[in-house]
Amino acid sequence: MTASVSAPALPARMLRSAWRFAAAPGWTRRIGLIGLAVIVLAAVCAPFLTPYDPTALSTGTGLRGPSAAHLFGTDQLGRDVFARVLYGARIDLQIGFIGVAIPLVAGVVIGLIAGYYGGVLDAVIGRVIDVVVAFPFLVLVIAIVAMLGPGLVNFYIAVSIVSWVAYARIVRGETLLAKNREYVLSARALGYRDARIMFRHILPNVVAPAFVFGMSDFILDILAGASLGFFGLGVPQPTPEWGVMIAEGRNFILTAPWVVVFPGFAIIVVGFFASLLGDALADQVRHIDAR
Amino acid sequence: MPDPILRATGLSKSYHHRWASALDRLRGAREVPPRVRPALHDVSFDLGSGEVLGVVGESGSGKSTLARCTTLLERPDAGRVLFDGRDLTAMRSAELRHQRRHIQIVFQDPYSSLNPRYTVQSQLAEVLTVHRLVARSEVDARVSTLLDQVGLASTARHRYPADFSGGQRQRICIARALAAAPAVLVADETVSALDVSIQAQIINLLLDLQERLSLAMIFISHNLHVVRYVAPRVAVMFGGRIVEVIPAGVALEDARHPYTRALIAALPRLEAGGLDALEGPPAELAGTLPVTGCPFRERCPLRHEPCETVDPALVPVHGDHLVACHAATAGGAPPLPPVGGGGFPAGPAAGHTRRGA
Amino acid sequence: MRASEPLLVEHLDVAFAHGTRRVVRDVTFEVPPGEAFGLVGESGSGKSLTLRAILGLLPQGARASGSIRYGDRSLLDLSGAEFQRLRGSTIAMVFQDPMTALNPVLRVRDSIAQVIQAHDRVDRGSARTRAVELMERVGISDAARRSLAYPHQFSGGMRQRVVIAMALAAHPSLLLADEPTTALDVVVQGEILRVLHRLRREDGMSLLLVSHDFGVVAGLCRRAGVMYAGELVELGPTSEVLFRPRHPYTVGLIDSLPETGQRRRLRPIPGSQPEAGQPIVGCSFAPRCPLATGACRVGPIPLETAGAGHLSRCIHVDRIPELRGRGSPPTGEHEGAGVVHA
Repeated sequence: MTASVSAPALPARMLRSAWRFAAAPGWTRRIGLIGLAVIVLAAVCAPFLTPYDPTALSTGTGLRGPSAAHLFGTDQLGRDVFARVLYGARIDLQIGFIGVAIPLVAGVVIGLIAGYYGGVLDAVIGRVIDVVVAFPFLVLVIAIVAMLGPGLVNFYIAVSIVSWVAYARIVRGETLLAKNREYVLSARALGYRDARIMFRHILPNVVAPAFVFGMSDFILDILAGASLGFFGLGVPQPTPEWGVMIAEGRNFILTAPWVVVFPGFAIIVVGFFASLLGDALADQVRHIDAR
Repeated sequence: MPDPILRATGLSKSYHHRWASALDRLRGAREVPPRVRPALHDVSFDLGSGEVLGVVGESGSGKSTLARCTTLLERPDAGRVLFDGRDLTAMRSAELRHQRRHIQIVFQDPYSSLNPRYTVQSQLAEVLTVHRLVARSEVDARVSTLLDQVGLASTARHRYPADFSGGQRQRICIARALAAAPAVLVADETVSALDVSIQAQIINLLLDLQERLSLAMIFISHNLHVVRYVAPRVAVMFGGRIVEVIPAGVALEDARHPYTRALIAALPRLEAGGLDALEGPPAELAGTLPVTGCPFRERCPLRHEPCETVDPALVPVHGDHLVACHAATAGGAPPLPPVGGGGFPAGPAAGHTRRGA
Repeated sequence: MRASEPLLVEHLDVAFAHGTRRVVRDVTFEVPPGEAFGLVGESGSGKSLTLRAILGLLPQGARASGSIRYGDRSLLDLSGAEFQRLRGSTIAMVFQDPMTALNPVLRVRDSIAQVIQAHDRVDRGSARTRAVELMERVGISDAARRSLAYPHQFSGGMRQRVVIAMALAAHPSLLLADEPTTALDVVVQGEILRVLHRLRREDGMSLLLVSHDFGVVAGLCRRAGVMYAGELVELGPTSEVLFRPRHPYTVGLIDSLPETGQRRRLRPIPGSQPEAGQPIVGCSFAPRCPLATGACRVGPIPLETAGAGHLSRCIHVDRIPELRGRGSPPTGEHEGAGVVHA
């Protein structure tokens, strides 16, 4: 084992931290992890779990209730709801993960730099953050997507532009605190360059709250995607996505509720497991800080 | 002093709100009066190679600011810091970073001085590799040596800081500072947060290392007993200034500055019933120190006219014994409050013996 | 104020986790009425918990057993309500950190007045007047004007005086002080100690002081006890404990002080105190003690007389004089008897 931590070691450290988190006791985190894992697995194995093509139209078999043949029933176009929920999971989970990953990385880096250097840089970034934060998240995302046009890529662009500020704010705050702690002062006194101090010394100690927020952001993004789908600004037809499914099925809410209930339920379930995981992560962070 | 390894001249630093003084300037004030006393004002000292200088002062005296300015962790507003003749305050950041390793600092709080996420090995090795002090293959061996030097078992290397006690963590911090092979070590209240018996261990460790490695050391503490024990030459700080420098060979009882004498008189003495002594006027101020004139004047029994307006300069009263006090330098022995026998069982003799039995 | 009564602590044990972690073990001492007694020890020695046990202020999960008597009252048997009545009025406590002891949104005089009103039926005006009087008693000059200040406007020493005034507000006959001057500067510390000294003499109040600083205890207390790893290892008149210590730990502690080490090398005790609550067989100090023998590790060591009114928990008391002439002192913590496991 080399004495210093070189570049490839960083992901290894993160994996180890992730493993330590996952393996620790506590039902909150286990249920959250297992739940999400099951859903991810189901999404990945969708083709094996259902014989139906989620986009296959089938006239004549529309709006059938749940049965042995169609676990969740069929929607107004005869498509199997169960299949659409499963395949829709792929899209929604992707929205959640990528919608968090990009802003998280961007926001953490920007927050670190702003907090560490302070001064004019921090003032400017701080004002930008204040402006973006002044707008409600969904409104801004919808506005941007409306300008760029519907579609998954545009959605990611919109979410990234809006979401990074939250992470930047969290990390900036933590960095301001960490900057004056003696281990950072020692690093400076030892003549380390700024980049090393920021990324090797401060970053691991400030990033945890960002991940905690990321969990709730995950749910928010899925809801945003669903909302956009509801407004017709979501993924294009006929790709299954839970929000779109709810939007299209809202006319049948009284006559064929299963068209709306199951995708809605899917959103709730994913949100539930993600929030459990977020709680567990928040607890962990609190305990570390209390040490 | 022939070629001091470290020389500070005219260091000043004040923490003021930039907005407030900017507003003052906007309002047209030409000369912006200082609102509060600066944290550090016109402080100068020399440190010889291998010498130990003690700095004593209470909270608010500016000693921590001095530590930070001396190590350039904060840029002084005025003044220069010269290491081995090279002006650190004038250097650009890249060059300064290279020079930094020569002056290392160990802080007070052992719990926040170490990065909780990395092992001891990792943190010590990092110093060595960043500064390319040893060959790759030698790093592990050098880490072993360092741990041994500070009295820690070799098994410590793979553990995280959380596994260690306060005293042990300070040892790790000292090892980390030594890893950079510095010429100067600043101990900023390094032992103040430790229990008495651990404190003694670390003091002995620092003294041993200082002797073995010929380190120059600046030892800062609020505890006059500890400072005097460690350092032959002691600088006393008050209100952001050095108010007295007591050289080696001069007993504490012969201090001349009224504040130093008050400090000595106030030291809890290891004698039973020492508190029946007279109760003097309260030394407390609810407010801040006066901005102009001598900072100590509100509490000083020798206060007179020049003290109100003129900040006394640090001047020699006898050889290397320096004092910043109008009364003390006016000549003659001023009527100072008596200082009791400061020690146990008998006070320290004039002259400073540390190692004699 | 009611006349102070003797405080008698006998075989006090404080344990966590249903008695498995004993952090205070078999502590016995007394504070005669109107006297000052000091408990000296490092962090983790159990001295603060001992103090808290007296007032029933132990943390969650801690159980005290043994006997604590104040006069003819048995404190360990008091109910919650009875303790409430006792606290402040009969026995008061001063803590270490004055900042957190004071409510930041209350003016200083109101913090004190609150205590007065909690124990006496007086109106707010009288309580406030009395509060100003108390502030004067603790040495705050210009008290009437200063009483209107908020805690953050006061310096540390002033706040501690206010805290002491609050403690005195209901005329306690016993004052417990847990490191009252540790957070303060040296000069201020001296003054606070003088205040306590004066109050004790003037009111005949008993004082139980806990500190890690021998100097603080020496100035104030006629008798002192030294605690180590939850046990009282030495007990006696302060001057005797200081000048003629009868326990190797006390000797080591005094030898660690730069005040005393001025004439010779500091001789710190190698190793460190065992973690609070660890089960220990025999003498708790044996792993670090230069005089330790097999007999020291066998069974509990009793407190035995080692002089007039002077007790020591050491079976090798007669060999203590050897300690004063020891050889080269250790610097590494793993030197000497006892290796500290990292």
